[in-house]
Amino acid sequence: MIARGLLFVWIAVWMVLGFVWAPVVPVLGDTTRVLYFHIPAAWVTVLALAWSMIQSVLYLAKRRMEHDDHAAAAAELGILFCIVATISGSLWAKAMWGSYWNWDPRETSIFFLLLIYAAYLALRSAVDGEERRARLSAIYSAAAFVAVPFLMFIVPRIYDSLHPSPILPSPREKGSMDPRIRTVFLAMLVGFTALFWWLLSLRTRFARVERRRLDAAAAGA
Amino acid sequence: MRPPPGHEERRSIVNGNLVVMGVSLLTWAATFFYLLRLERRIKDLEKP
Repeated sequence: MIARGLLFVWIAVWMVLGFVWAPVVPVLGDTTRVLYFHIPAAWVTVLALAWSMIQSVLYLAKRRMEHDDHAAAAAELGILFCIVATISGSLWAKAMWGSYWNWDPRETSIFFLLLIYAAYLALRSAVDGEERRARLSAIYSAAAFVAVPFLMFIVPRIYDSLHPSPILPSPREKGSMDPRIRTVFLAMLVGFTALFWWLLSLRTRFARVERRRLDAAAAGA
Repeated sequence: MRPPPGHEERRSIVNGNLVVMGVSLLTWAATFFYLLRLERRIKDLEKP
């Protein structure tokens, strides 16, 4: 409970500091604050999909259903945070570039990522039988993750993009991002990451309860 | 180049930022308390 309270205060305080303490980037103006939500959401998307892939591989190796629960929950959360990143990015694009959607390489990549993982959820809901569903979706998730670094990191660097790149300056370029902006940004990354682990634990615990109930119903039938 | 905002314009920008900050905080608080309630329910379901 204390950890939950700390998470609430952490995100709320850094959110306020993002508005009242951190300066704005002159080019971005007041829209600078979108940075504190948009990039942490995109980071959690990659983290969640990587976790889904790791748990899928573990499922294939050990055939334990907890790994399947984790893989499914992480993929669902990956999609959720991907939607948050897409919506916040779209609003930011409207403010900066005058249009909600520009088919920029990063926008196109995130769109394909959403399609790939929507297919993962469709696969899970289409296959009957717990073991079979877990095995097929583990294979799909492990294979689908190959596209993640390609779509998130490689494609946007190959083609000209409206997005600024890199987002975080390299150590050689130290000083190109205001230290106060960097502090709030990194603090929000930490906050979003903690929020992801909490959501993941809730979803996997619920999946366990659901399975226990189904097992009890099957045993009673 | 756009001239720097005047006194009135600056005040409306500040007010706009405060509104966005308030909405963000409210959204976060609502999400957080919803998740806490959800966790309590899951805890109840976990009881044998």
